[in-house]
Amino acid sequence: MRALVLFAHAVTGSVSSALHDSVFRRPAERGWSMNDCDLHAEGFGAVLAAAERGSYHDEKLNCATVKECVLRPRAAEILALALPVWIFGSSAILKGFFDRTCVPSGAFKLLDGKVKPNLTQICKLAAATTYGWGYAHQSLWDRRPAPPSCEADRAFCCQPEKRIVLHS
Amino acid sequence: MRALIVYCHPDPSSFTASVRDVVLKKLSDTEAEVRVLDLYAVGFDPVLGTSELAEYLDVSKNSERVETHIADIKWCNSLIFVYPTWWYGLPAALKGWLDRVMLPGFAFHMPENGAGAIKPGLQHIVRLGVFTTCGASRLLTWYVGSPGKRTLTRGLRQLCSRRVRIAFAAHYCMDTSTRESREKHLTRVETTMDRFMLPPRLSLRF
Repeated sequence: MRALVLFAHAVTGSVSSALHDSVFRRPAERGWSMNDCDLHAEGFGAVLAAAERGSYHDEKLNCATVKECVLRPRAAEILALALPVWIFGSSAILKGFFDRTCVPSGAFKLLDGKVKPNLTQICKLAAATTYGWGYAHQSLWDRRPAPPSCEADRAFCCQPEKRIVLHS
Repeated sequence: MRALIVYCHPDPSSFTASVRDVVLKKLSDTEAEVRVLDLYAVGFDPVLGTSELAEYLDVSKNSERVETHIADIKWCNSLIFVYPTWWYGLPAALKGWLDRVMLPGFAFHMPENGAGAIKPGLQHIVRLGVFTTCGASRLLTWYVGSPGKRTLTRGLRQLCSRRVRIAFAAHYCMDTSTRESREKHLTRVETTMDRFMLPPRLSLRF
């Protein structure tokens, strides 16, 4: 199995970093092919630039600046996320990853103006995260928006029989 | 009324810019004082990095890099966000603005000795406006959970005054929008702003 691990915390030694180690280690021990994407270490630029926005619907140009990052989820069968939840959502660098790389002909296709999934080879989806505010507070008032943001977005592009796991 | 408009779109000719202009026009019709923060124009870096995280809980130091933003929020009593919804959520530039500017000791107060609840710090904010556009339909956005909208109208709201007045207007299905649908939405923004500029709600809780 080929797995892509997205990690979005800057500090080595943080709890998120430990989550990342766990998320990475267990599948690696099973012999899966691991693609580790540490967004901070790779210096990923979070902001979708004006030029990128301008070419968003042009399938020849829209991934010119982030082609490698667009192809990484396409090559994966498993997507695992290790992220902190800050201010009720994923950190900006992870949100920016989705903003910039989930483009037409990448994560999805536009056929006759309709969105069709294009990550259908992804059959497992997992997220490990931490919350600053309590579980009850999040679920009562906020209905935990961060996991839907990550998971339902991706689920929309993935296989119908996908398996989603969340640990927080 | 002192309004801070946090505007976030890379394209100056976008429909989101038209929404911002309508909001500005409605505010200028009153005696409101207005400041506009254009996150792309100021080149705001949204990434909360190692050094900022190291000082995050130190209330004497954590605000040094974003002092002007904090001063703007302290000055205003109405916060208005104008942005495109991307992947059901806030654009990274705006999410990062919340990550870096809504700091402990200012936007909220951590419990002493690690016990108890987090206390709000933006109780001077009595109006919270959210104006956005979505590529997805209203139904799909609802199914995913509207994380962008809820981050502001449910999450950030908890840091504001109990009397906070909330306004929200979104144009869904932007990719198939027409001139008529966009004009209709701008009219909706105007009427939403009319309600938004009314005095804050009366609080039933004491």
